Amino acid sequence: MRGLLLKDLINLKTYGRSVILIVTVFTAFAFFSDDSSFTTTFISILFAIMAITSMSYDELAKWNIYALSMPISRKELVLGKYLLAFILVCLGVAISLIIAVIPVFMGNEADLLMLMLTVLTSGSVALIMLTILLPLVYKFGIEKSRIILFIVLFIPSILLAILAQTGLIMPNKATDILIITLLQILPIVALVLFVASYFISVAIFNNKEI
Amino acid sequence: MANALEVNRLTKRYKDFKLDEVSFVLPKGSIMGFIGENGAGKTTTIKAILNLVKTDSGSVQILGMDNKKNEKQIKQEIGVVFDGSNFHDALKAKDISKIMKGIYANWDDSLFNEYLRKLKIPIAKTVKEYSRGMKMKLAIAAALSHHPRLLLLDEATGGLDPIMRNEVLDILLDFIQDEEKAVFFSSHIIGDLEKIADYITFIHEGKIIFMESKDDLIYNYGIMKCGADDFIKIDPNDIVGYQKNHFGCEILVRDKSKMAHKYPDFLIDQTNIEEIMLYYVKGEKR
Repeated sequence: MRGLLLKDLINLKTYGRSVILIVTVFTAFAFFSDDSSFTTTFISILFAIMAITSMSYDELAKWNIYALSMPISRKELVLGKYLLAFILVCLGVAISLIIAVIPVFMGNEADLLMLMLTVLTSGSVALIMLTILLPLVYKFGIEKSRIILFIVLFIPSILLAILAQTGLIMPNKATDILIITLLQILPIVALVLFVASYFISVAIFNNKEI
Repeated sequence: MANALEVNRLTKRYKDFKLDEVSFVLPKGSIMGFIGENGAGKTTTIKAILNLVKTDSGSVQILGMDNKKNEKQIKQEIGVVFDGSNFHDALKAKDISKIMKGIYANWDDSLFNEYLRKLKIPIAKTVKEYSRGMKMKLAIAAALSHHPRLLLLDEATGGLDPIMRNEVLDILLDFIQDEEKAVFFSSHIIGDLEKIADYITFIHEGKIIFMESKDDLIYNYGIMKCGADDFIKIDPNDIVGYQKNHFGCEILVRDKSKMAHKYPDFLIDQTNIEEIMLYYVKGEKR
């Protein structure tokens, strides 16, 4: 397991450098705007996508067949990838949190709890994205999953945009409280789904001919 | 336990291909060449040995252990090289060392460095900058550095120039000096196998055609030459395969000295593994 994680982290080093650059740019952007939620969501997704990137590196190198010729079981191979994905999402959340909190310490007025909730929500969204994507990559390979990624990302956003346009959801006190409660349990839901996704991926991968 | 590898009636059905009751035995202290044309089932056999594909029937014993029941333990003790390198472009030799240390219990850093030096593999470059030959050598060095007892190589000398091939073959011969070790080596570069293999196993359309010691193959088989008219006089059972040309017939026969006795009028020439393979695959049968 240590070997697998090390392999992914070394491979993501160069990619990670560009991510740091992007994060820096967006942090500057966040300082000048009042709303950091866009930045935090963006960063979380960016980190989550790194897990998928590492899978495309694996596919390019035909790593999986090689790894399975070593003392690594199929289950461990999948577990390694899920651990990496989880670590990356946590890293994204941690960085988002720092970016979101800094303006507060610099004297900006903001609700700290609300900020935390925003960051955790974006982390949960990233985790849910991976929950859907990882089994798909194990089933269909990275190329087809890329198309599915766009669908997974865009359809919900378009639906939400349309919903907001039609004015079906009118923000009021009651829906606000409901939404906040939902958002509070979202990280737990995301985590449970993520664990379930792991078992699905193991089942898919076990039945796959390499 | 005298065998490093025992494959017993291994069968795997695909839609358009079948691995058909493949059996062979690789004794310790020897090198087996696994030959056959592209698509004959070489890679499928190796994947089945490694339990990477589900087989329909048959069994595989590696180092005396069942390949399914003792998979983990077996894989600690074997080294595998596939056709082409499986290392990521961004890695350097020292990264590979770190990664492998986390995977193999017996990973030996100093042995790996020794192989890198012996095979003249550049350590400052990333895999991306390596030539195909360098990648192959790196994969072979990696496969040898956890003190494996059995090496499985799938077309591992494919991209190498003759000089590199010789270096690799020397390393394999060196490895086999320890009588407890063995090498299973698939290739269609027959010259490599003639140089180092003790046994040759020939697979054709998913079936094992023969498994014989290399010396027996070369000394026992022969090409018998006769005129077109004489051809009908020859017992069909003596013909492994034949080719007709303007001057007559060339027939691959099995027991050369017996045939020389039986057909004293015909000339019997020496043959080689490549010819034997060609006659089996391309030659006509009666």
